[in-house]
Amino acid sequence: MEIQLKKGMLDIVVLSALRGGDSYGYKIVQSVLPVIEISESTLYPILKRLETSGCLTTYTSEHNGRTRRYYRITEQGIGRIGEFLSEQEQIERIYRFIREAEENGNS
Amino acid sequence: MGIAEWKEKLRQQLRGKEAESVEEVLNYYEEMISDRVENGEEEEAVLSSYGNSKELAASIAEELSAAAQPGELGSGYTEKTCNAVPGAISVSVFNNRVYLLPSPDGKVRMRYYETHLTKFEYNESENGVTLRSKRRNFFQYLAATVTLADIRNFKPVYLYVPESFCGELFLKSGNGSVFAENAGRAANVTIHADNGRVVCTGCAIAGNADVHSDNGRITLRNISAGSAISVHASNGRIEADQITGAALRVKSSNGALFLSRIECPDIQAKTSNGRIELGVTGRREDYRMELKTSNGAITVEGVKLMSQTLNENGKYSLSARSGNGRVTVNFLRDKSAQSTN
Repeated sequence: MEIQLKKGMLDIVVLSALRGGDSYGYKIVQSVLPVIEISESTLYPILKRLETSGCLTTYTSEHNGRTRRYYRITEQGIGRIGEFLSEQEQIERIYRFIREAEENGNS
Repeated sequence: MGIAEWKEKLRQQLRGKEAESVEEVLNYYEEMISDRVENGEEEEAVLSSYGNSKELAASIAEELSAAAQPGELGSGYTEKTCNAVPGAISVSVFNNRVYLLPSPDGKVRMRYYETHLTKFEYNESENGVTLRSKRRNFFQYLAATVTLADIRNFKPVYLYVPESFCGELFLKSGNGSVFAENAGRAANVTIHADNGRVVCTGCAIAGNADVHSDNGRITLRNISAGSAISVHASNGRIEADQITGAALRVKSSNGALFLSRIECPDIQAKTSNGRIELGVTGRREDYRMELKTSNGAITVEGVKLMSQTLNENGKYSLSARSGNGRVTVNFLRDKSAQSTN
């Protein structure tokens, strides 16, 4: 996928991964991987950014004698997903425009 | 190498960064590695999957500094003054309007406004002065820290150029308009607005002028150039008045051309979709004219004609072609022409 396009979508995809319940780094990567390529080092700044902007909160919990950081989506984060979905029509319009231009150009 | 050793190596590489953030990143990776090992991967394979610690540290450091700057909107304008008049000036920004204005004090000055969305790189060297915005993509503007107000908040970039400037001038805005009121006596001028309009008035250019807009109209008024003036709008109309140059090339893919008081021995006007109105300062008999339209009338000084070449032996050349619109040409005789009649 076009790299800049992907960058903008990753934030939303990560937030969506938290809609089913709180999650932690490794699990987020695993649940996002089927739809979009992501590495641990890409995930970190995204989580950080989402936290700073109030889209998620974090807490730690014990697991097998070590600490694990959990992430929880906030109302604001849910709002961001809603905003993104409401852009769908506009994005589709852009795709339609590009596709039609391609088809006309090739005929 | 075990996890602890790997972590220590990374910590060494990140020395000097804010301790709290560094520990947070290290804990993040440690947790990730433990989880991957718990899920059946070999520890050594996991560690080597991150590549060498130096590169990883460099990318982490970059991420840390990016994550540390969510805001700071009200920092005001930054002003730069270039003490010697440079040989070249280049301004290339994304999203900002650009104003080119006469300098009040004989120095090249630039003023720009930085926010967390727009950062600039200003550079002075023996090759000239450059101002560039660090480019971001549309989809990054959807990121969480950005509001609509931020996007409306892009402030213009101002460039002040003295009369004594006689170098190369390059202005580009990726998503804003360019307004040029003065270009000193620049050798060559290039103005490019990807997605905005261009207004250029009162410039005397020694060499070439090249003006381009991909998606906006272009207005030129009172421009002279020692060599050629090229004007190209991919998707907008072009208006030009009082233009003097050795050659004038005006082209729009989708807009009308209104050209008046053009004083130039070599004129080419072309549009794929729109009318052409051309007023030439000079004598009709001097111009060899090639006029063409696929859909509309051709009128020369009030007389309708068929698509054709006129005045085959004229010493100057004029060509006007429209893909879809009428073509009108008029001549305004200059004083010297009048006196000979």
